[in-house]
Amino acid sequence: MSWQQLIFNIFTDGILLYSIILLSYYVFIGIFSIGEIRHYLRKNSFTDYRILASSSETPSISIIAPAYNEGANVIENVRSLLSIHYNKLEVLVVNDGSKDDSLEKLIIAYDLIKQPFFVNERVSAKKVLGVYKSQNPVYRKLVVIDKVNGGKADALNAGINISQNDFIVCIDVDCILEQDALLKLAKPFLESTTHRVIAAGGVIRIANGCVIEKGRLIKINLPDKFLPRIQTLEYIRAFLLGRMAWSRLNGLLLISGAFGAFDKEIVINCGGYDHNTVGEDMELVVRMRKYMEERGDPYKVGFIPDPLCWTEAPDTFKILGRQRNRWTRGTIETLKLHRIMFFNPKYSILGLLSYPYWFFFEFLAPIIEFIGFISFILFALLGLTDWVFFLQLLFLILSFGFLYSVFAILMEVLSYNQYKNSKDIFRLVMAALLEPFMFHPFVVWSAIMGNLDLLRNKNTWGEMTRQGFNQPKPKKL
Amino acid sequence: MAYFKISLFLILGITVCMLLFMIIILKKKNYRRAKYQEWEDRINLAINTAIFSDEEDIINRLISSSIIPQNVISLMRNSTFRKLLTSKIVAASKSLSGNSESNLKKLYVQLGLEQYALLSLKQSLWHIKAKRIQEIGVMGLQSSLNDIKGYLNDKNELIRTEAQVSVIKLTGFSGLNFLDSIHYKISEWNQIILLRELSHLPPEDFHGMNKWLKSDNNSVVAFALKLAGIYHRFAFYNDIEICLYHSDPDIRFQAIQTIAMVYKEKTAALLKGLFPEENQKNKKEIIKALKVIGNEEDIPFLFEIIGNLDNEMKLMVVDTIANISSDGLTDLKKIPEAHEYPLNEMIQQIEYTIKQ
Repeated sequence: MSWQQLIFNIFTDGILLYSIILLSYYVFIGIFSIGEIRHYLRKNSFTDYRILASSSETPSISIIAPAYNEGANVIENVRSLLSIHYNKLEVLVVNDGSKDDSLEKLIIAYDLIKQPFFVNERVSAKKVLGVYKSQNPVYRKLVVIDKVNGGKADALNAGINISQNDFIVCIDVDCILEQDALLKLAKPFLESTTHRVIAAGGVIRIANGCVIEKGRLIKINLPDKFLPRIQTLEYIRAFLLGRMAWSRLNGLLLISGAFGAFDKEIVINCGGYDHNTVGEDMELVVRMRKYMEERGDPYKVGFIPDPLCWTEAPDTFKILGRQRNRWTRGTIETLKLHRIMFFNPKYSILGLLSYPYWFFFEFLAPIIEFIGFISFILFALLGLTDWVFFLQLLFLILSFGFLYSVFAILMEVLSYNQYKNSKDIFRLVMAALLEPFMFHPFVVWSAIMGNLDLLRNKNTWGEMTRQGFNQPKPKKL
Repeated sequence: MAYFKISLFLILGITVCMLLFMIIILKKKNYRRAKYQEWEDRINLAINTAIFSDEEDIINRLISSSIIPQNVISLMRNSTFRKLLTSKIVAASKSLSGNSESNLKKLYVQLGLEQYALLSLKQSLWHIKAKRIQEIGVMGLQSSLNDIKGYLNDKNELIRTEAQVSVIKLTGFSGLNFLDSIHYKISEWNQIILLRELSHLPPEDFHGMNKWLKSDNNSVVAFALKLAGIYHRFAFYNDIEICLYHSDPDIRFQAIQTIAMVYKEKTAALLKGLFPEENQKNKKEIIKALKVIGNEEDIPFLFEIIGNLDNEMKLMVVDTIANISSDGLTDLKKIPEAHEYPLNEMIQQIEYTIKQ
């Protein structure tokens, strides 16, 4: 055997082993999530959430919504937040030094007046320029914070400093929440008698294509555009299968920054959001978990499969690329910051399972895939490729990917069945067929660019242009 | 190579099976949706008619008006129809009271749904059992009380909770007796459900409070403290006071809240005495309690502690001072720190809030 052949064999066997482990993980996640979703659906099939809405014993919640240059949509978005069903609620909108007329619009629309307010700086945030409350009792839940621009994490920290309530719900201001989202999200915090629930998240869905009217979701449709449709499938897979399974293991490392609830006391004890990472949502959850592990307190990070929050997905490759690039950098930064946990038994499942999974299959996967692709070209040029073996392996991997997507769609149909039209389900299946050729390579490429940008110390957020939901008339995005 | 082929065929086979299964499910769901609409219209009409009926034999009235078909009993054998009908009647009963509710209960019994509920109570699936227990409670099936009591200490939390709620529905406050012997912790969610259920009942005396306040099960103590506060059980003041010295800080927290609802002249002094030894969370609760039960006499204590507190508690103390004494803020402004950060900003904020 020549040395080239030896290298080739080691390399291909390594890739094969890696793929087998990854596929085994997917099989495990798929099977494991079934039980969790079924248990949740059964448990909640006759839960009356109105009990929470009217009870004086419910935990108090502050919604924190950072807004930067959201002038075009901010009035409707805030109206949507104010219409959420929850008794002990305050809505904190943090104007993060917007250059547009967001603040002026809010002042006029909600009859706001600047008030003397002592800002208790429990976590680090840039200067608060003013705290505004409404003179109209209808909007008594609303607090608008005007501050010097400091980015999303900084704005969230400012909100934490001003919030008066025990739990915080951090959201993107342009997300559409279901009316009962907080009632459902509050429940995990109240249910556990053995563990302290430190954070909880729910399923995020793609709102492109849906009919939105006055900040409310009127009709659910599958996106017409290809990119958002593929992301719909991607979100179903990630939230309904992946996160449910991790939640069952109590190994969740990520509560989406678009919508998540946190125990404020723990957040403050951990120092709030980190300004120095673009993956502040994941970093906070990891830090909170690490804090609880180090204290030895029993805790849980909850997740519920209900679709609670609807968000607009990028519909161009340019914006999508920026988003995935940022997600990659956020993941690497978080893993680097908390590398002490890597296979560290002191951190139990967090160190032995969650962290290694993220390291090997979230951080390394696109790199290995990219190297594999380059090597394939090289080996092909050198005439080392066994084409029959290669094609069989490729077809096997593609088939497995398709199977996993079909399984996710089936779970969606069996559980929430948001897309009632059979045609929509067929379009999702078609998207699953096309994904490996028209979407996945781009996501891998964006992740590689994220790695390179991080090496070049580029740590910008990347502008996320959105079309927005609120139009004068009901519309389809 | 053979492994690859087998794996490939296996994956493709499973995928095809899943796709076929999905098509069947979608067809079935669509068919049911159409069928449900027809049934739903009929059931809604039947419920609306039953609600306003003044006849004893509601079934006959519905059959004679052709709202439900002659063969309704045979239709009841269709489990999908029966589940839909039951859920509609139960949901309507939950939101009604008086004659309307009683008519729905009659309809439920006359349709023989009671027997189905009792049969599925023997089911091994926990969620079906829990659902039926809830149904029995909502429909007020007194005859099943003993069956339900057997589930009050069930290892499944949902079954246990539904049994507790149903027993309260069927027997009123005396249903709380399960607190005497419950082995499991009562979660916050469970406590909210129980309190909500009790809020529907006319307040009456209930026994067992002194036992519950001394229970080994801390969640029972916490729940009993909530009951004592909400129902103003002044008679248990001394037992509540004992809970202020409980080893569990969460019980002490609840005891502070409760004692502020049933307070006596000496309560403020008692809480002030506990303040130095308490944890941060309970200290905050004591300051909150003083805001409600305190008076001019507590001002010196608040002035004394304000210098050594964190900013959050400082603000709470300023708020309490402003609320319990008309001259409190004026006096506070006389201390030198009142003109420095952070106290100056806190005073401004509270002054503004009071003006508003």
